[in-house]
Formats: sequence, structure tokens, C-alpha cells
Amino acid sequence: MSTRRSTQKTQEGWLEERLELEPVRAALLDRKVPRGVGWLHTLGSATLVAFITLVVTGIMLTMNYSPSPDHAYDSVVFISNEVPYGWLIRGMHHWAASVMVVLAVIHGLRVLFMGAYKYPRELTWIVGVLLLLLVLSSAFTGYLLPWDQKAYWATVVGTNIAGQAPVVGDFLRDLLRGGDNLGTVTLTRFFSLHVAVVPVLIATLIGIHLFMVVRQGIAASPGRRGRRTPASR
Amino acid sequence: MSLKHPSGATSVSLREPPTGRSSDLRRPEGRQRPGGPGGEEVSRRSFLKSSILTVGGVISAVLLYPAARYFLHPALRRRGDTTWTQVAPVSEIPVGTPTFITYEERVKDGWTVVTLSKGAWVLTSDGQDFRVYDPHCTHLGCPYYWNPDRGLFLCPCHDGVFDIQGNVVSGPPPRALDTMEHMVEGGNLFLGRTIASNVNET
Repeated sequence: MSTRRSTQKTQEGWLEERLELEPVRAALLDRKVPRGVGWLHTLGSATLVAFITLVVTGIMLTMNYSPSPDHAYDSVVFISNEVPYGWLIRGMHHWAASVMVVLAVIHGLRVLFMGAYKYPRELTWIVGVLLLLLVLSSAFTGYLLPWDQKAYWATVVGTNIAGQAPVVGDFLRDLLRGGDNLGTVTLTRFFSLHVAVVPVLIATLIGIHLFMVVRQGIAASPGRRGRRTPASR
Repeated sequence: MSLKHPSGATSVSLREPPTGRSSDLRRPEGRQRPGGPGGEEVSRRSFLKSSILTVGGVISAVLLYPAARYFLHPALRRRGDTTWTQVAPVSEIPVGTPTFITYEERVKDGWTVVTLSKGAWVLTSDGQDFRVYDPHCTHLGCPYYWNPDRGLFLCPCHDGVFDIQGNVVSGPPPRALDTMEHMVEGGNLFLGRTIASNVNET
């Protein structure tokens, strides 16, 4: 435990004395990276920025959105037209959603083609695949919420696709819809998943995913790994 | 001095300062020192750090403005002009004794229009000039009632008592009864907003 007097600004020293955060800062910001890292290695962080944008704008949207068939569409119109900068918040949410899916996929492809999923990073890859599935679930459930024609029919088609699965297809479809047809219960179920369930799971898995990435370090680019020993990072 | 990464790759040769004291990381040893406007040399590290913080700060401020407007707008509304609600024909309002008049008011509520059932205590001595009281007790908002035997407004929640002028006689209410904007047009009484009373005349 450090017993030195704090020599720098009061607040910094105060916190540092109590929590010894310097190793944490160093682990996060003074990470060693291998030669040859480039823009492709920023895709993971970019995905995280998109996620944070979605969470913040999403929380703001839930302050004015009503997940019942009677009010959903009108509340979305209210946000877009009457709430100050509502159009901007909704717009950012819409585009960040598409951006996040695209970035997550390209990030996954980058990892795949650079072989960065190999030992010792197998678990990071598995968590990443789960994250991708969760992101797609979030996109699917969020799409229904405006309850307009596009949202409704896209969900009919999407749940019918789920219904094509052998053996469990019908069960899955009815489970998603909350019944035979799309209705009130579908909307509320999707709202709960989109707002309460999936984001929490995504955030948790991101935490695990990033912990492992920081702990193990960025994988060296293919071609530079020649003499790496199995025990090294 | 260049450092060897365990993978065998070598990293950029920025001299690594000793660990432990964060102050050392702000001033890496060597020829270059982080400088200020004094004209000393600025290290790449400190320049990038200040640029990132500055640009990040500007971006955050730009994003924070619409977010703040969006979130705070219900508290920042300006009161517009009064909307008048027709309540009752003047001829139907009894003279001399306070009368509770109920009426419906259509109000914009988010993306919908709701119909509220409202009421007000109306009294007049001559059928021309009116006093209109908001029906909520000024203590905590319970609806009070007129007691003709005692000639007083009584609140059942905490025993607040008001006289016919609206002044507090006894009990916890902190101020006199709130009045309401009103006008007569075409033989009809119209009501507007509630005006909070700010003087307790005893």
C-alpha cells in the first residue's frame, strides 16, 4: 500500500491513495500491442461505441415510448415530431443499430481471417459469437416497436422463418409471438426483451469479452507468429 | 530501448518510465518534456492526450445539448396563453352560496387528448362578479367542501378550515384558497388556469 504523500493535484492523489488505480490505468491504456495492428483492430471498440450510443438513446426513447398497440405508433410520432430533438435521438438510435450490426460482423470476420480466435483466445471467440447473436436479437425485437406496417409484417415473416425449424419450429414461433398471431402480448414481450433482457446480457458479455482481450493482449497479425511459444501471449 | 513483446514482435521504442508513480508517466525521461505555451517542446504523448481530450470534450458537448433539451423539456416549458373552458351558463349559478360546479376539460397529454373531469367552487353575490376557487386544499391537495351550517370550507384530510373569502381559519393549510382565472362571455362562465394565492390574510 502506498504511503507516499500525494504530490500532484489534490483530487488525483486522494483517489489514488485509496484505490491504487495506477495498475488499472496502465493495464487499460498502456497496453502493448503487436506490430502490424491497424484500423481493422479498431472495429471492436467501434462496436462498443455504437452499443453505448444505443443504450443512451434507447433509455431516452423509453421515456416517451408506450409499448401498447393503442399507443406505440402515436408515441413514436410524438417523439419524432414534438419532443425537442426527438427526431435526433430516434434517428441516432436507428442508425447506430445498423452500424452496430455491420461493425460486429466485420469485426468477427476480421478475427476469423486473422486467426485470432485460436489458442489461447477460444473463449473470447465463443463469447463474441454469443454477442453477435444477442445483437441480432436486439435488432429484431427493436424493429417491431414502432408497430407500423413495416414492423408488423417484418415480424410476421421473421417469426415464420423461426417456424421453419424442424421439430421445434412451431413451438419457437408461438413462443416468440406470445400466441398464434402477432398481438399485444407480442409487442410487450419484444419490448421487455429489447429493453430489459438483451442489453443486460450484452453488457455482461462485453465485460467478459473485454476482460479477456485486455488480459491476453491483442493477437499478433498472421505471419508474425512464427516463433511464438504456446505459453506466450 | 525497445521492448520485446512475448509474441516475439517488438514494439515502438518509447522509453518506458518506471512503474508506480503516475507522475512519472506524465514526464517521460529523455530530451523531450511535455510543454506548455512557454515554447518548450511538447511530447507526442501529451499533445495527443490534450487533442483527444479537447476534441472529445467538444463532441460530448455537442451531443449533450440536444440530449439535455430532450430530457429536460417538461420542466422548461413556458406557459402559453390561457385556454378557456366553458363551464356553465351564468343564469344557472346560485347566488349567495358557494356552489361546486363540475365540468369537462379536454387537455393535450403527450400524443393523446384526454378528457378530465374537473370541478370548482363558484360563488357570486350578484350574478355578475364571481369568485372561483380551485377545489384542492392548499395544504396537500385534498378536495374540500362547503359546510353551510358553519359557513366555512372544511377539508376532511387534516382539518384545514377556510372562510368564505378563502382565508385560512385554522389547520395546516399554509395559504389561502387558490383562485381560478374566469370570465363571462355570452352569458356563460368560462374558467382558465389556477392562480396560486400567496398572501394569507387573517
